[in-house]
Amino acid sequence: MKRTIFLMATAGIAVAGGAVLAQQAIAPVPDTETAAPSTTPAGEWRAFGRTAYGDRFSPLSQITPDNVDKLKLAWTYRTGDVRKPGEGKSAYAFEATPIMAAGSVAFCTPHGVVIAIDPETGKERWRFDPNANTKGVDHYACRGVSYYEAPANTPECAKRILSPTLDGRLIALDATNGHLCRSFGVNGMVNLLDGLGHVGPGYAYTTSPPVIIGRNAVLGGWVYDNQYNDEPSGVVRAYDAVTGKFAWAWDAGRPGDHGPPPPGKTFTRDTPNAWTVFSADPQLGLVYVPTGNAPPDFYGPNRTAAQDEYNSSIVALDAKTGDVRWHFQTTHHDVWDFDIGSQPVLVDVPGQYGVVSKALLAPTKRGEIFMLDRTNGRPLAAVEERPVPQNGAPGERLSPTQPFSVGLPSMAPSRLTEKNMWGATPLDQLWCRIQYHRYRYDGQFTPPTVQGSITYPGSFGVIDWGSVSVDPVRSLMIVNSSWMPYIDQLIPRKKADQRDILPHGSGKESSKVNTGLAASGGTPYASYVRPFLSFLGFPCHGPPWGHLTAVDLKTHKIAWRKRFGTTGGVAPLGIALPTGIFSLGGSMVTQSGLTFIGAAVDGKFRAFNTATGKMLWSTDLPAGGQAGPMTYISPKSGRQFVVIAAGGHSALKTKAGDYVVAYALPR
Amino acid sequence: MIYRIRRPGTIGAWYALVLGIFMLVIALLLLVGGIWLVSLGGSPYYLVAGLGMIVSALLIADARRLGAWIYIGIFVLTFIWALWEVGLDIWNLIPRVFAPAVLVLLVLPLFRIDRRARP
Repeated sequence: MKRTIFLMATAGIAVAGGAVLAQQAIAPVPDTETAAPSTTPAGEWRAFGRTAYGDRFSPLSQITPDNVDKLKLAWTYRTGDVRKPGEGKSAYAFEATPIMAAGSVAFCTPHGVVIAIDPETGKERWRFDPNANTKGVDHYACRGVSYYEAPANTPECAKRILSPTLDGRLIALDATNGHLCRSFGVNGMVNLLDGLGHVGPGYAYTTSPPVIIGRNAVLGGWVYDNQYNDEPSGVVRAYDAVTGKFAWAWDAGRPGDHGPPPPGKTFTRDTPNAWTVFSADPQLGLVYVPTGNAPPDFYGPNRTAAQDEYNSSIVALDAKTGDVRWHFQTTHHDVWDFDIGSQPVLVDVPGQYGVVSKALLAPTKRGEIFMLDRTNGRPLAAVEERPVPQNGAPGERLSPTQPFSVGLPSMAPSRLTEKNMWGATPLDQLWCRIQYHRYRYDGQFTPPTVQGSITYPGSFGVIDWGSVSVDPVRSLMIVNSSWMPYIDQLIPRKKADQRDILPHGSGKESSKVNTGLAASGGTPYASYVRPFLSFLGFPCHGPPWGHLTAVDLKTHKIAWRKRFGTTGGVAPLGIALPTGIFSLGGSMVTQSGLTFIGAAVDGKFRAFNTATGKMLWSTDLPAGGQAGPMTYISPKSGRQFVVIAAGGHSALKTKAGDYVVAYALPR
Repeated sequence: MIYRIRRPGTIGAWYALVLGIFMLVIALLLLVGGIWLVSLGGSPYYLVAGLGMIVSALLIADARRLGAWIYIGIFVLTFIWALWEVGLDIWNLIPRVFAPAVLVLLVLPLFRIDRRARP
């Protein structure tokens, strides 16, 4: 016993010493690190998560808990990008977090139009419409643009904006005037469909901005979910941000081979795709890639070893070569669509012996938040493999256990019981109770079945692409979470064929988009996955439906937690009950101790005291605020502005619009 | 004890008939769903409430005051059951007691009609 303690102490000292040495050995960040925390000016917001760390923390403090209640609308900008009839059958959403760099606020619209506006007035400076070919596109979204400052001797576009398009291109624009950087790729564009082989219309494109590390812009892509088992590759690629030249690829199916596919070949088809925002640590030279599932999601006996190894994982790639340095899987053999939607958040947390740990927070749709050592992927907060329900659909091979982040508070809901069934009246409540018993439900990780299974948490995600924000001053992580059970059901192929449940692009299936039906071709089952709602369209489970939580990253305990949002905007007659409500989109924290967040489907934009959770300010957005807020100092006046996109999310049925709104203190 | 509030052709009698039929429809839905739920191993509340409401609805349709008393009794028991299931959590009490409370309000005029309708 004594010996063990001695060994532990020695090991601790060794670890501490190693960390100190490692910190001393860290080279200064080179000039080309545009979005590194150390090179981002305090008044700017240079990336989706402000810096490549993705913590959504701004060091600004003009707006404080004492004066935030005086915030007023400063300007409103309208993009003109609204949903046209027939567009966005799956989703049409203004999900962009604007950036503020090179003196402008810049963002992309659902159609991928890049716009730069004056930070002080909201007046348009320039816009660039990539005129994306949207044939076959069902999912209209663009989460933002990236900013890059080229080395001094670069002939054009010293300051540039990189943005993805709905037809699989990466474009580079001069940040000062919106002109294409002709020396980037071919005439300012890189064709991301190169090397993918056959790509059906609307099957593969990128909806998230690339992460910038060194000279590389690294990005993955979105691949149409659940259509068949031979969809385009989910390859992650790096391009030179100056020239657009291909730098490396990480193809899960060709480990160790980082070049383009040989002539006549393609990147491995049907590999895990990484559709959300990456983060990067320039000092470690690592890019952190949150992966999704190789299609289809809900039935996986024939998945390859590569798919089973890298689905729903955090993969740390060497930013120079694309080599996998480490990876950590958050769901094994994922048949629930628990792809990681959240950008990993890089934070340095104080740990034992006064040693600062280089941590990575990986929020998941499951509501588990994993805290890993970002140098090696080992858990910093204990992770436990726990037994989960077995006996899935015929032929399915489920993982006997799944990882739980027991060292940090879980945002996951507790197990549903019949008493949790809800409704507006006893009749729909009774209907929900009957359904509760008719479906299979063995708690978390009940596998999808032909009978229909309750999946809770479900694929809507307790936490999705809004991720979390971290206030390093107060060591608090702010989490907005949603509780929405799903029904995951498999439909035998013969029945699916009779009902024309066919892959996207086959012709007859178009009416089925957004009903939750998907072909999952190449497997014996189609899938029917939808929220667990009553026949009246109300949730079958009772409130609370949404929370806002602060987790203390020093003690790993919940600092405060409250119901987040009301039923206003979604309930009949707009009745606003303080039940907590579903949210999609993220939060932002400031040095002065404020948390700003829209996200909730009630259409409000709110400010909270980060330390206490007290709501200090709220306003009605002109449309759904399913996006992340950001803040900056206007170079013209030196005033701090808070900005959020408000365009709504069609799948959540929030109010549609084309607004970017800014708030500031009155002069 | 039981005396009729019915006077053929009065508005009160028609009100009672319509309300009774409306309640009977709900009661039958509760009964059928309740039987299904019990067969699946679920709560017996809906079956019991459905049975009680059938008796109450038939009496109300026939303009008998006892029907109103029975429904109020069902409501009181429902409230107790709801508190037992979810405690004082107001948003989870709503589906259990809100609509039944509205029905109580619809049943109450039966007493007023009775008083006015008496010769």
